[in-house]
Amino acid sequence: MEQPHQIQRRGIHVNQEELMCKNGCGFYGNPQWQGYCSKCWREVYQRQQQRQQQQQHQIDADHEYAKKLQEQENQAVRQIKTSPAVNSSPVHRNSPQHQIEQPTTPESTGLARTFSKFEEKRGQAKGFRSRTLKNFFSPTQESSSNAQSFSSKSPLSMKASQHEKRLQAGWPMAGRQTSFESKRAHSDFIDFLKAFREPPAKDVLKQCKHFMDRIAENEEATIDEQSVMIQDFYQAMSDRLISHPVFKQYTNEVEQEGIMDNIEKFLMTRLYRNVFCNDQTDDEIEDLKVQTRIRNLHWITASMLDANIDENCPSVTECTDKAITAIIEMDSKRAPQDKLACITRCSKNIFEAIKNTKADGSAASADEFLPALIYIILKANPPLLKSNIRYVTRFANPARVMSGEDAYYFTNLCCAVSFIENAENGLNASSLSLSQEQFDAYMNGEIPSNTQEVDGQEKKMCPGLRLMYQNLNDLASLHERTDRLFEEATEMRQGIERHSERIKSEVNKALIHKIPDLDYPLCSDGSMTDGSPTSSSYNDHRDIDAFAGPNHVNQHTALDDDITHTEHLPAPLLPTVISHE
Amino acid sequence: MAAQRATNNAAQGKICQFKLVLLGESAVGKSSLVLRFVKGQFHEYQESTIGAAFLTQTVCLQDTTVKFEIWDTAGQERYHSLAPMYYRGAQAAIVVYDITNQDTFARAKTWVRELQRQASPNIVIALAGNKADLANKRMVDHEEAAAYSEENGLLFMETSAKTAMHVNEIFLAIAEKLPKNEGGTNRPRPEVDITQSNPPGGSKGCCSSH
Repeated sequence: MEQPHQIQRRGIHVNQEELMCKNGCGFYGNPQWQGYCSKCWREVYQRQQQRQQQQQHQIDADHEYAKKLQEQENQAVRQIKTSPAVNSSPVHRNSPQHQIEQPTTPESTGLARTFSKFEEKRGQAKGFRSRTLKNFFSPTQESSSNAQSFSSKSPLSMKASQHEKRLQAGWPMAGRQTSFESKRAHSDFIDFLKAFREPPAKDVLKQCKHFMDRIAENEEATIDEQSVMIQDFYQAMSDRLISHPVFKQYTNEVEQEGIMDNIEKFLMTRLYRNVFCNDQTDDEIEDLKVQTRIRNLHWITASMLDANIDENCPSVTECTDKAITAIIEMDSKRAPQDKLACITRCSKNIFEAIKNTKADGSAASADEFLPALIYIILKANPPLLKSNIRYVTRFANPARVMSGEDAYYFTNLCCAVSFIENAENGLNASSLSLSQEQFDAYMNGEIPSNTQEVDGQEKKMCPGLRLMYQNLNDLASLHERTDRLFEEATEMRQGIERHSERIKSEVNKALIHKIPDLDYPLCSDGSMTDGSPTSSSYNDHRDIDAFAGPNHVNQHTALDDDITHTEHLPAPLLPTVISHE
Repeated sequence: MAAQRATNNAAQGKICQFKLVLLGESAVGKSSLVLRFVKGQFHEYQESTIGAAFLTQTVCLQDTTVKFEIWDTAGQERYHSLAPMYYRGAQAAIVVYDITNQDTFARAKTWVRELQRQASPNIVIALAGNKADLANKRMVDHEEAAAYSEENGLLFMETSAKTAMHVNEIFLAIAEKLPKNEGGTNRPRPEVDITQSNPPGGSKGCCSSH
C-alpha cells in the first residue's frame, strides 16, 4: 500500500541515499535495520527467514537420504550375521556423510541401541555418583567434541553435524552418551578409513560394528570371556586382511599393521569404560594394594636398589622427572598402544638417566635398567598400575605384547611391579641387602627415610622445593651482583666528575697560558689567506705580543715560516720593530 | 590359494622373526656380546646407543632371513624369579658365563636347567663362555663346558666380545638351528602377491639369489 508513495518519491530523493531507506521508499532508514526503514526491513527480514527455512528443508532431505542408507547398511549387517558370504550384501554408495551419521545419530543403528543398553547396565552398576557426574559433564563434552571432530570436514559433513546437534537437543536421552575420547576415536577411525578404497574400508567398518554388537549382546560375559572375544577378533581380522579378496590390494605388511592398529585403537577406546578396571574383577583392590605397598616403601633410595642413578646431577634428575611423568601419564591413555608408548618413553628416559650418571657414558644394560625402573616406579607410584597392566595384557593385540620394543619394556614393567609386590621372593630385606630388623624399622617408620644421606638431604627434596632453593640461590647471587654493579656505577660517576673537573681546570689553565697558540692559527686561516686587511690582525698581534711579553716574538717568526711555503699566500710579513722609535 | 602362497613362500627367501633371550649372571658381558653382534662394537658404542637392553639384528642365511629380537635380562640373583616373564615365548636363549669365574658357570647351569624345564619345549639354547680373551685367568675348563653342553644338547662356544671371537658365529649357529617353517611370528610376506600378479617364473628376492 506504500508502493505508489515509494515510486512517487524515488526521483526526488536520489541524492540523499545515505539518510533514506535503502529500498528507496522515501522514509528515513535506520542503521539498526541495515539501512532500511521499519517497513522495508520487516519485508527483507521475512524473506531471509524464508530462505533459511528452505535450507532447513534441504538438510532434512539430506538426513532422510542418510537414514535410508543407514537402513540398507543395517540390512547388510544382518545378512552377514545369518550368512558368512559378505560379497552378496548390497553395495551402495559409501559417502562420508553416511559414515559419520551412523554411530551418533540416535535412532539410526541397532548397534547404538544395544550398546546403550550395555552402557546403561554399567552405569547402574557404577551407581548414582557416576551417573550424575556424567550428566554434569556430557553437554560441554559433546559440543566441544563436535566442534573438534567436524571442524576440518567438508560442508556436507558440517551440515550433518549441525543436524546431529539438533537431533541430540531434541532427543537428549535417545542416543548413547559417548565420551569425548570415544567420539574422537570414531572420527579418527573414519578419517583413517577414508584413505582406503570403498569396499575394504566398508568391510572393516562392518566387521567392527558386528563385533561391537556381539560384545553388546554378551552382556553377562566375564572380563576374561570378553578378552577372549577381543583376541579372537584380532586374530580373525588379521587373517581376513591376509586372505579375504576385498583386501587384495592391501598386501603391504605396513598397511595391514596400520589397519589392525586403527581397529584396535577404535575398539578399545570405545570399550574402555566397560573393560578397564571392571567391577567384576579385583583390579581395584589390587591397585590399592600396590599403591599402599609403594607408599610404605617410600624410604628406598637408588643406592639400596643398586640403581645407577645419581640424583645430585641436574641432567639426571631431568631425565628421571620425565620418566616419572611418562609412567604417570599412562593411566590417562585409552588405547593399549598409547599406554605402551608411555611405558617405552619412560624406559628411554631411564636409559638416558643411567647414561648421564655413568662416567664413561656407555649404554646401559638390563642389569642396570631393571633396578632403575623399579626405583622410578617407587618414586612415581603411578595410579591404577595393576589395572593398566591387566588391561593391556587382556585387550592389546597379542602381537604387540609378545614381540617388539614396546613388548620388551612392558615385560620389564610387569617384572618390576611383580618384584615390588612380592614380599617373599621380591622386594624384601635380603634383596636390599639390609637386615630384617633394619627393613622392619624402615617399614614401620622407625628410621627416618634419609638418615643415611644427611648430607644429601637438600638434594633429595621434591622437585618443586629443589627448584625453589635453586631460585633462591640464583636470586641471592643476582642481588650480590646488582650491589656490585651499583657500587661500580657510583664509583664511575665520581670518576667522571673528577675527570670533568680536571678537564675544566686544565682548560682554564691552558686558556690563561696558551691563548696565543690557540689564537694564531685562527688568524692565519681566516683573515690572512683571503686577503682581508692585515693591519687589524697585525694590531691584534701587537696587542697580544705586548700582553705576553717580548719572549714570544721569536716564536711567532718560527710559526710564520711554516706558512711561507704556500703559493697562494702573500709574502710573509716580517716582524719589524715599530714601537721603539 | 593358500597352498599356492605356501609354496611360493618356500621358494622365496622368507623372513622369520625370533625372540632371543640373554641369561646369565650380571657382569658376565651379556650386553657387550649383543652390542658386538648388533653394532660390531666393543666399548665405542657410547654415542649411538641409549640402551643395550633391547636390540634387533638380521642375519641372512641361504634361503631365509632371520631377524633376531634380543631381550637382555637383569642377571642379579634377586631378579631371578622374574626370568620366566622374559623367556616366555622365546624361541632361542643364550646363557652366558664368564670363563674367569666358576660361580657364573654354576649359575649358567641352573639357567639351563630352568629353561629346559620351564621354557617352550623346542627352545634353542646356546651356552657362551664369554671373556675368552682372558684365557690366562681361566677358571672354567673348555672341555668341562663342552662336555656339559654335549650332554644337554646345547650349542656351545667360547666367545669374546672384546676381540669379536665367535660372536657372529654363535648367533649364526642359533639361526641355523631354529625351525624356519613355523618359526616365530613370521607371516606370509607381501612379496608373494607381487609375484602372483607378475608373470610366473620371474624370480625375485635378494636372499634366494645366493
